Amino acid sequence: MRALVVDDSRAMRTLLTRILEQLGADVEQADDGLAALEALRRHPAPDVALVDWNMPNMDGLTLLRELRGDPVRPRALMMVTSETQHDQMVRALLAGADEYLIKPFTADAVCEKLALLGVSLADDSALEPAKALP
Amino acid sequence: MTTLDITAETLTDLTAQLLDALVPDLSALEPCADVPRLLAEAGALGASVEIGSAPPIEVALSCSPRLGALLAAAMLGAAPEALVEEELLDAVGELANILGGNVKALGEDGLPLSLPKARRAAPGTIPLNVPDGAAGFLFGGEPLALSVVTTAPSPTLTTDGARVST
Repeated sequence: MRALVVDDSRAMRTLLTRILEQLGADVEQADDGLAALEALRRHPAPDVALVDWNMPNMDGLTLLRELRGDPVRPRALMMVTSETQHDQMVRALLAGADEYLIKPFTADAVCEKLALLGVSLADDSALEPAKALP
Repeated sequence: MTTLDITAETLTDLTAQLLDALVPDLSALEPCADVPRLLAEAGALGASVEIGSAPPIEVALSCSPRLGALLAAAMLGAAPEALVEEELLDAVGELANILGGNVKALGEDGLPLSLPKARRAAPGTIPLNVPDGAAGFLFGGEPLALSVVTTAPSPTLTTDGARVST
């Protein structure tokens, strides 16, 4: 599995990357929507992109809209955000998100969302069962 | 005018969920009235986000540098003593961002959420982001202050639930 993590917080990028790498993913990072677009145009589309909503320069919602109909679009897009309101989820889904993961989240929640997206996991037993992460 | 209803209990619950997800091995939040003094003595890492505008509601947290380092280390998978200032402020800012997003969900749809601002207050100074009425806790024995404030004239955080308007 190849994944792109898009978040302006280095701590959150690192956290998500650790979880995804435990699942056997090859992970690239971008710190805003513009950097994500650049990364997507440099490399073949990843299997999944996990995208924060609230970022400088280009936010996650704008990134999703930019990727609609674009050949560099990842096979699956997951919005990862603390924006928990129903209308926000609807906006994200309308903009092109395939799944929605609310912060704080657990490693198991990430795994479940990836499974819902049909993203094949190299090793979902690698996660420590009781280990929770935000 | 938009409104946001929140009680100290709700803010505490949201914070406890966040901290439990991050460092499940640490103890629960313990209320502590002495947190402003503890943060003034130890110094503080603080971060805030704004919800809405004219005037915005500010959701803020401040913690001791030691607690900030523990939380940042849990996120970054690194030893607390190995972290640099930028990593500490980034992690504390992200925690404020998550907390602010969860608080924002208590208000009406469509309120904007700002990017977080994070800062450090040196020991011996008045800690940032700890206004009157902030809720104080000990978490893992370290001080932590939480607040939801606005420029509205009414109290913004009470034990029986205050209405915050912007």
